[in-house]
Amino acid sequence: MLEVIYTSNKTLSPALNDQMSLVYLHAWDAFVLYLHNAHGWHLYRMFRDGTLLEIGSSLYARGIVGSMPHGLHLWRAASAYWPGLFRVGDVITGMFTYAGTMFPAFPDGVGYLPSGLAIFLDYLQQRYVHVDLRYVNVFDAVAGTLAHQFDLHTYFHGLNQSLGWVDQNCLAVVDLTSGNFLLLDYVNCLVKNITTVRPCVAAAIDCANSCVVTVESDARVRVYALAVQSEGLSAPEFDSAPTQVHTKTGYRLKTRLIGSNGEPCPNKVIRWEQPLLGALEKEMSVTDADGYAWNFYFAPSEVTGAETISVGTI
Amino acid sequence: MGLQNIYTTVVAPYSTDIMSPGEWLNYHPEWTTYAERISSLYLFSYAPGDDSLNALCMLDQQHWPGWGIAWLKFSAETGQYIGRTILNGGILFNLTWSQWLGAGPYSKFYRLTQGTLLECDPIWLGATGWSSVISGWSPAPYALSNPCLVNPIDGLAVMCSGGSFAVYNLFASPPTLIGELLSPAYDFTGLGIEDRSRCWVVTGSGVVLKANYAIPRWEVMSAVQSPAPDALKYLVTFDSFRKRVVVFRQRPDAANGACQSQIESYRPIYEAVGLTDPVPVEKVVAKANVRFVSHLYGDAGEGISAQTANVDLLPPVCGTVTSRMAVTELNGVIKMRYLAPSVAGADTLKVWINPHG
Repeated sequence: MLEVIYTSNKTLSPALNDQMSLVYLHAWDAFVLYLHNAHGWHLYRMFRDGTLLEIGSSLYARGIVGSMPHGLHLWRAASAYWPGLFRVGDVITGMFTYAGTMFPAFPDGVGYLPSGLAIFLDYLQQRYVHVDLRYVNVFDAVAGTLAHQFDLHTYFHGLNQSLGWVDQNCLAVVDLTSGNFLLLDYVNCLVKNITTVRPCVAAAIDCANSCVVTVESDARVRVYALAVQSEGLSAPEFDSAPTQVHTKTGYRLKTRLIGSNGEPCPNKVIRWEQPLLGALEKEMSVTDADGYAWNFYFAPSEVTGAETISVGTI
Repeated sequence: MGLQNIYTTVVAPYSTDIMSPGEWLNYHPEWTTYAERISSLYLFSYAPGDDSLNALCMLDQQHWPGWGIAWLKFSAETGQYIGRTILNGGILFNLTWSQWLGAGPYSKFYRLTQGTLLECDPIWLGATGWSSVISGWSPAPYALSNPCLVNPIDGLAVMCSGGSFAVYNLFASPPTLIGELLSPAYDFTGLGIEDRSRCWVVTGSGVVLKANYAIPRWEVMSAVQSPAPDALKYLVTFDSFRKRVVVFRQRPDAANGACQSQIESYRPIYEAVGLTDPVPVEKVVAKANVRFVSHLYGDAGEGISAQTANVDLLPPVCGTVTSRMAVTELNGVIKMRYLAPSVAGADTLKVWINPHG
């Protein structure tokens, strides 16, 4: 599970509902929150500490707001009223402009979202991604053809997803109901990682700071470091277990740091305690992509007996 | 950037020449204190000639004929009411045939009547000769007195309707739509020209936007101070002498009929209204130099830039602040660093803005 590093003291007002989109906007270093309630559709600027300021409202939906690489955002028509157009969001108002239309030849009706609210467009890679109840659909944004489809049921059964750009070619899919969190390479069509956050009603990726920001049903904002929270560190063991440890010989040691779902925790510092008899090459090492931290144990020259090696995290 | 309020003046233009309830042709016998009320507001403009602010409105009146169209004049320096010119007759025809109504340079007024953009005289709004036929509207011109501006020097006209800010090239024949911006709200109620490329607009919820209409693009977003749901309409103009944005906020009259509408003058410079709590964007671990962010913002959440922020810890202190000063960036963000102690503890970050900038 990803680790919560901040929970807002403020609660968002007005009341939230399930028809809301949250997108990080780098120019604001804050979030565009677009939601529907009994009084219509409302556009807000939301800060991480739960400060919420309304910018505008309208009786009818102006479209669907989604994310783009590097903290830009886009709008797409919610109906055939503005057929098939992707429009870049304006960095002053958060609303789109007519001038910022991209991929005008994208076919009408493809990738419309009757029930979901999550879209993403990479204008350089020419990929348009949207999520329906089951699939993450990756389209060629120029031709309008389906390039790849991720079946979410392979990983979880969700009802309402959110999308956010993380890094080069990497997209996060958050299932709001369960909190399942999937990292996808939408260009090479690979699943990179799967973990969880707490169930929420809206989620966005703060790509400038590598954070996940969610709004939960308690109307509080939570910030997660986009790194798996470590839950377990395995006992150190030899890489290839010898039948007997000989004096004056070196052996490769490893330990593994994992999260609550067994997922690896990369780039974490592991502290090794020097043993009594022999010696370790390093006092600290960093976990690799699979969560393993490595060290080297040198057996003593003449002493025989039992040895204990301890590891811990910082 | 935001808006710094210079003054807010409640306008007091209503006559107290009250008729007795039984008097003949008393159109509002229920009124006992004031003999008129503002019913509609059409235009608000700054006149450099006499350094005044002028509002064109329709009044409901107790006296015959029960209504009147008036230019109300206010001091640009203080917003105080100066006087009025009551018009009836011909201006009613000119107004009711105006789908768009607005101002331009040289103290000119313009209106669009049935697809024709007309230069008007500044009192009666009668056509004074120059005209340009505009067709192909988007959206269609149904509403009365949508705001517009005309820049005849560069051949640009801005027509606002609904949430659309449409820019036309008047040098083309017929004039063509060359650019369009959208409001985050669904309505523009006021539009005021600043110069050959800049103008200000206000929405029905009190959000104030500055646009470069020659490109076009939005440049600034802020809001009037204390936007209230009881506001009936906002109009905006630009005081080119003092370089101020002036807003006419139409509000419902008081229970005794007193006018509560107000004129608000703003200097378009920074005006911070809030500072968000410091939020870590990295995990706080022992001995780590952790990044925190906070935001200084204005009325509409816009970032307030180039302000000096101070950062410190409230006692008792465990860790260390490694960046005690920071300057707010364009989006108002304050980036600070906190060095966590080697042992577990609790610290409280305090951030405040240097009052001298």
